[in-house]
Amino acid sequence: MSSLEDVRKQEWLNNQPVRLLLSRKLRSTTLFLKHEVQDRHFPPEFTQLLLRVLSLPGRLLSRPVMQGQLVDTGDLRLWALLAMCAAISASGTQPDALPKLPAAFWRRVRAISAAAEMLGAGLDLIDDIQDGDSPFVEEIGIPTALNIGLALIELAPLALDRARSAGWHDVLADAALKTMHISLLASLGGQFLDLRFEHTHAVSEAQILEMTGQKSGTLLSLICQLGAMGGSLVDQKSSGEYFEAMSQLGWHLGLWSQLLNDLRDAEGAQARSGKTDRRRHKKTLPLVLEEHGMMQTAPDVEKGSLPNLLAALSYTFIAAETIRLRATKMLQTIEAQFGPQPFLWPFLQMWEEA
Amino acid sequence: MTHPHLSFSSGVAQIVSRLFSDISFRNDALANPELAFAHYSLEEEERQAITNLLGKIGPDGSFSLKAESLSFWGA
Repeated sequence: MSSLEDVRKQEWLNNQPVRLLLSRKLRSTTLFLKHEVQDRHFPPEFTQLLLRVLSLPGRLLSRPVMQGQLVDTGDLRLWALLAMCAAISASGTQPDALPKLPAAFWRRVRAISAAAEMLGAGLDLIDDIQDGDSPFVEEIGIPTALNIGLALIELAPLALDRARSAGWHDVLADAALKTMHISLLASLGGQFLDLRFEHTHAVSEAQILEMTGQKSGTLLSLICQLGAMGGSLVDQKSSGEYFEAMSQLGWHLGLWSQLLNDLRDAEGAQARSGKTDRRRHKKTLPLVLEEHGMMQTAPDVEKGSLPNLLAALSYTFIAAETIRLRATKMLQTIEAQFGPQPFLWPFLQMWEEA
Repeated sequence: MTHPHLSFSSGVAQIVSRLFSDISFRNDALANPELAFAHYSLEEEERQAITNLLGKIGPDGSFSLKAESLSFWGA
């Protein structure tokens, strides 16, 4: 990619007025989130715990943008921001025209972004329960954590439904709700396989990739679709094709991120103690490749050797990078068919941690 | 959603294996990846991904993906 393209594809991240506006919209999303939780009249302690989960590290409520800073690259992993940017992209709005979007659009997007954040928080918590490696879950106990996780997942469709009162056409709202249920079920199927594989000896690369795609790809596919549906008009003739393209893009984003997550765990596990994927016998791509042995061209190299480990990590990196590059090509195709999508490009870049 | 393309060419695993077992191949790949991988059938994205990996391998064979320092999507 040329440097000019680099600049164009990071355009809105270098545009202060756009960052300021998106920062405000994210803060507005958190207010909506808090109201959605508080309006349910749960027991006060339950409400507090729900808000605490929504404020755990990595979640929207914990980000510096909530303390008045501008949205930054570190926020690109927020599902709420992805949903928001997918909605803006679907509306065909370019950075300079962002302030012209009507208030009803932002109310819709706020509800959809809040639903995305609730889903992310709820699913992460249940994942933590299953992995057994979260100090927070240890502190509050598994039964309470399960209760909170389920409540957050149940709150998500209710938040999504609020977008109807902001002019979201029933056709799109109904389709979004159905997509949410179907995607969650598909992801749960992938999560089941992930857990089952921990007790299965022979698991192939193809099975791992299929499971990872089902577990993680499906979720970001969902977030991209929800955003796209929130930003579209019901009478747009090409909307079905656009939703499918966004679904595919999100699926690749999800698989890419999960492979990097697995890679990070496998690479860092050498230096860490605790409940890593390796100790739990998780069947992630790098660990399965290492176990199978990567050195076909040098059969005398032992499976437990450093070259074998490095080869397994490298293959996983290439797999993740290939998925990212396929997603990049997809976004180029989307742009060719539907026009510029500048708000989506930063999600496909590899950022150095700030 | 139509089922996404989820496999990789067999050449990827062969190249990775050689990179960590054959020093002269690794040196050739670091010096001229296009030439070193010419005999392998790879997708355009796979070829680019391998080239990106080579950027993380030092000339002395030292190697770190530094995945810990990379920002990514937490799913």
